[in-house]
Amino acid sequence: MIRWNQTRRDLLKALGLGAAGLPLLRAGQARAQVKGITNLICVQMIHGYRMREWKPAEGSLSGQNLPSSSRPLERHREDLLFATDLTSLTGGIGQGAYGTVFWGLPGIAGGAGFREPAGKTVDQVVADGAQPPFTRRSLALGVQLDLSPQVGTSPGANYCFWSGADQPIIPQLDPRETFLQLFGGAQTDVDAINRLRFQRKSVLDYVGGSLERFSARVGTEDKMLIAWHLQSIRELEVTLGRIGAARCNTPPPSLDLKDFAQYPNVLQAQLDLMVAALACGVTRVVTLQLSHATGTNVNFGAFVPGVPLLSKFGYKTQYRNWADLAQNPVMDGYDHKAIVDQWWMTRLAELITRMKEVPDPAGGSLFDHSLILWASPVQDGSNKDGQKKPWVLAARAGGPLRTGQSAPTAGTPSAGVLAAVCQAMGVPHPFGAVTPNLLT
Amino acid sequence: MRSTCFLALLALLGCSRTIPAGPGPTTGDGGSTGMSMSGGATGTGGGGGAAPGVPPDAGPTLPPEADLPGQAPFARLTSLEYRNTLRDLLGITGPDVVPSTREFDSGQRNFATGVGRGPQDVDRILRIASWAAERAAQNLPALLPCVPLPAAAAEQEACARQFIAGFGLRAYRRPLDDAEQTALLELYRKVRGPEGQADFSGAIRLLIEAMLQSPYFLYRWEVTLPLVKDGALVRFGAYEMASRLSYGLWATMPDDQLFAEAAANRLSAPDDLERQARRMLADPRAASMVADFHVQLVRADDLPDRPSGANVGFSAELGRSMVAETAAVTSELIVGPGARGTLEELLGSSSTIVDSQVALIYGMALPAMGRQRVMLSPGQRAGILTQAAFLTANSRSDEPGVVARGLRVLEQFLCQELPPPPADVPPPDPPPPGPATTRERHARHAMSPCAECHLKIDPLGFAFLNYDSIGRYRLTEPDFPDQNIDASGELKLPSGTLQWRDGVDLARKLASIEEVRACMGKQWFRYLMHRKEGPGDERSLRLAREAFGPSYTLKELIVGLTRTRSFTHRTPSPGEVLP
Repeated sequence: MIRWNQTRRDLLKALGLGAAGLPLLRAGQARAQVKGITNLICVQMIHGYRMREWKPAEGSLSGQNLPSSSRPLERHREDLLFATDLTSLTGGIGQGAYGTVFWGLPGIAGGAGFREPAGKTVDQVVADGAQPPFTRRSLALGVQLDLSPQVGTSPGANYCFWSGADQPIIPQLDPRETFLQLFGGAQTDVDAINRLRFQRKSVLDYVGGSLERFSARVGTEDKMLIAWHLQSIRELEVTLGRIGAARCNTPPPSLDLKDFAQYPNVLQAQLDLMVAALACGVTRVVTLQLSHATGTNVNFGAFVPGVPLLSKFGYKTQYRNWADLAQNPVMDGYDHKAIVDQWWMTRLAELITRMKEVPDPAGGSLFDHSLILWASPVQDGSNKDGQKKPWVLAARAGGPLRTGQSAPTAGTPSAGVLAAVCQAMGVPHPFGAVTPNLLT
Repeated sequence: MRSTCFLALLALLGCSRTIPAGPGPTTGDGGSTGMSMSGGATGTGGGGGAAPGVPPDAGPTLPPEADLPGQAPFARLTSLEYRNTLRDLLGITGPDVVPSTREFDSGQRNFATGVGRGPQDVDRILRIASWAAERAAQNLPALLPCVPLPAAAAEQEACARQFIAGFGLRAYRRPLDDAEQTALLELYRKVRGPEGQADFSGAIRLLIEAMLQSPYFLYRWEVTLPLVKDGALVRFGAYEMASRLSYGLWATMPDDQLFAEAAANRLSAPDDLERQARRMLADPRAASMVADFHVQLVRADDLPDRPSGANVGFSAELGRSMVAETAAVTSELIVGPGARGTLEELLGSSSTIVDSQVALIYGMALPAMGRQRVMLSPGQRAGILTQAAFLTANSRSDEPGVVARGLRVLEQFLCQELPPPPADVPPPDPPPPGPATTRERHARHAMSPCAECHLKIDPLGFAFLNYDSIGRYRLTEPDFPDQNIDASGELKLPSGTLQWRDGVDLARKLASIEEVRACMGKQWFRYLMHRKEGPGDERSLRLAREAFGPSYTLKELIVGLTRTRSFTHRTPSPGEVLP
């Protein structure tokens, strides 16, 4: 009926499709075929930022220089959405809301003053509505969360992604182990990867042969379509091999996961895994916990240039750890916390750059299909103000998210941003009304 | 000439996934002769005149070329068909495990050319095949002919051979020839060999994955060679007929009985086809096909994807409920228990099946527990055209879609094809000062060069002005609370001038005019054949039309179509190897 108002010939003509035109059509479609946002990355930040050095002025980002801590993000400014001064509905004071950052709605009391969500956090809500194909509904990663000193055993202090009330998602901390689960099963050697690749190639060989034989059964016009399909299979064989080598078949380096100086390397390995998992179709949703609720085990002095290893304040430990920086950002006249804030924004900028470089099978880059939510439970570790949360969202400009701005979100609940994330991805959600001005 | 007509039509076309209609072939509407559809024997003769295997009709004599059905489309499984086929082939069911295969559509439901649009498209097929095979492999004993699973390599290969033949027949919807079985066995051996090292289960999983990516599975082209010629035409083979019936009436692969009938070569005579069609329409699986047809007919198939707030008061959840209403009420009307299923009911009934959300649209308060049948005000609602799905799908923002609603009635129910909007229409004038009724705002459409189309489209759209953009009934427009809406109109048709008071009056009158009856025959033809009718289908359409009348029972129309030569024969495609 309605959809068959044209013959195949009409359609091919409408597409400008002749045998010689096929490659051009394909190239032209690369961008056009980019569909909506299908991937979500949630990164959990703690202790916020030094506002004067980090917070852009409200309004368009194109008309201003980003402050020093945010400056690494300059080249992505059109793809960024700052949502600052968000209020909290979850309850809990300061870091007490750590476990409910991605929940946003009224929480329930957990141990030691830490709140817990009463339902699924946004990552799981999105995972519920994610469009297959994928092999895992979500991937939860963390960075050295098990190093000492710990923050206690309260789930609300250790986990911020939940599949429901009282159901925290335990993140995976070992990049190599995760890699093998995702891409190599229980097998540990390159041979195993080669076997998987051989199996895939064998299947594609069969499909290619089927197409060739099938072609004998159809007419001339349809032979062209089959030839096109076959050409795509052959290209896919080549592409899969190349992508596999570059993105999916490169195991993370062997790292000492107990050495706090390795934090940036473990972080990088986990970020690489996130990108690979999305690019290779393992999952649509990845989460990353950068720390437990206080960050006493993340010793920035060990790896961030300009930050001394040891603290003169000795908050919880002798090191210039995240909690120490939050309590006492300035030491010897230097705002070390602002330096660390800039270091984090550099990591975010690198993640975006990396995702823009990775092609997506659906066309465009991986970033074109992704949304990054980089969220903190408090404004600044020094004030622990949970009613002025500073969040950063990143997605390709021109999509459903109104990027390129620091949105007027002061006083609006963070749940409205979670609602915007879900709506941008076309997923039903429980987070209530979308904060105005976040969506196109 | 400054006008809004071009923008209006352009916006309409742009927001749908329709391919703009080109100048296609048309057929005569045929006339009812009261002729019986029974009888008829399988023939092998030529292509013109009274076709072999098809009963003669008593209408005006048609030229021989009116009985030469066109080429069969080279169709790929649609999303619905793909999903249903996975369910019936692999037992993968439930919303949690069956993926949406919307990306398979590439915008054209049931059209043929979606596949092969580049590596991205093929990659999606690969991923979904891998996903499905992985899940199917979790319950291999249900798929394998050898239980318990053999342990020895030789027995495993023997089992794989049986699996290839048995599962292959169901996946490819026809028996595999020796070469095809050998190719799959080679794949099995390769992946089990020293380079692949797959275990038995893994190798079976890879076989499934391969078959799900094969063109024999993806494309609706179950040709068994050599082709059977019938005069200038090709007769569909028995297994092709099994698939034509199953995908036409169930939107899924053939069941065991159809495979058995195909194996016994009992799917060529019209009576055999009718027997199967009646059996299948009595099966619950027919409901999804009937629902799919009507949701597409009113162009509501993308309503669940429309973002919340697209229309004032609209939400995606409400959109799903609206589509569910149209799906439920049409499927129950036509293939439900004891259904009469007439065109008059489709376009005139005030009875419907709604949940609490859609009930609110109709001004009713229902408990939030599933769907239930309710009777609506006969003065406000009459059939599918006054249901929320049609009214909302063909409106945008907060304005009732005058052009969209009118165009849908014209195209979908009267089968009139309009030329595309003129390309040289300048931008519209600014709106006139002061408030204006919807009719007044559309008055500029009546000016050249838009008038030719809009004088047909707009009156039909005005008929539904009593319904806001999400289908709520109203007596007045918001800016004119003291002025009753004028939804009356008229349209000149070959059968005479159609006049109506409002949308309800129009809907009920449409059910009784010849143009709509003929159009429904064409629409069902297109749905079942996966192609548009051509001059060579005229006789088939006439016979189906006779089966439809005099009661205009939709089920009889569908059954009648399965008896036609257009259902059993096709013109060979150019370049096809013929015996």
